[in-house]
Amino acid sequence: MKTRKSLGVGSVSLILIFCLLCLTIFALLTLSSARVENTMAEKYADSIKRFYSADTIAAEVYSALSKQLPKGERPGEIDGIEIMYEEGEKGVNFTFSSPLDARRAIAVSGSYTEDGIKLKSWNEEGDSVLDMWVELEPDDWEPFEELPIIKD
Amino acid sequence: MPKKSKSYGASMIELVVAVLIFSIAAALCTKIFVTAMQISDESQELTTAVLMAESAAEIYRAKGDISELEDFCVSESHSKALILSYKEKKSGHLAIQVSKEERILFEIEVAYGGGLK
Repeated sequence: MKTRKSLGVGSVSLILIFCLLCLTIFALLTLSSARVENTMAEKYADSIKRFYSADTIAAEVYSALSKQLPKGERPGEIDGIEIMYEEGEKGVNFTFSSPLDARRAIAVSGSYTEDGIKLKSWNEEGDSVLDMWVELEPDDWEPFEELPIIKD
Repeated sequence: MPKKSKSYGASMIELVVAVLIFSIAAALCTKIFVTAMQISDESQELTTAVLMAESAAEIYRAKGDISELEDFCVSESHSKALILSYKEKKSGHLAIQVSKEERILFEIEVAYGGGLK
């Protein structure tokens, strides 16, 4: 009888303490997971905002260049973006980059010839390089090898 | 016999105290769960808003046509209860905004890039 009494009192408390611990741990894990998820979502939103902001600035600079180069002007800077020029065989090549953040930027290169202004590349450069748009010369194009789709 | 009733009384008090503490702690934990759920919902809304704005921005960036965005806004806003609105700021520039119940979740400005290439 003595043993039965002591078991009943202790076991209830132990079970409740165990349930409480489990509940607290799971609640804190859920909260930390939700916070991390929220931080990730905010970082993603921020990166998208930065990208379109930089892309818009690059588009404005390119638009301004396409108006000024035919007039014979070579602006060194437009909207705080430095533009580099290089004399090419047929005309002048230009490059500039619109910064996304401290490590990434949208790099734009093109050329201006008698035929007009032409864009060569519009890429994201930095730690995580992503080729968005690159012009390929016909000689650079390497076709895929033949794929054995149907075998006789 | 008196010894036995005293022991039952003690265990009863212990049980009541334990249940009381458990109830308070469970209520606090429930509050934490609810907060976590709200944060998670906000994250999901923000991600959806960003994806909606990004898709609309890419449509405008490629085509520069606002009429296609109207269909896009209606179909998305029905399912997600998020409203995508846009305004042409100047020629070739569009401000895109995603909001929910007059609360702005995400906004970007995009330039029409189709004419460049």
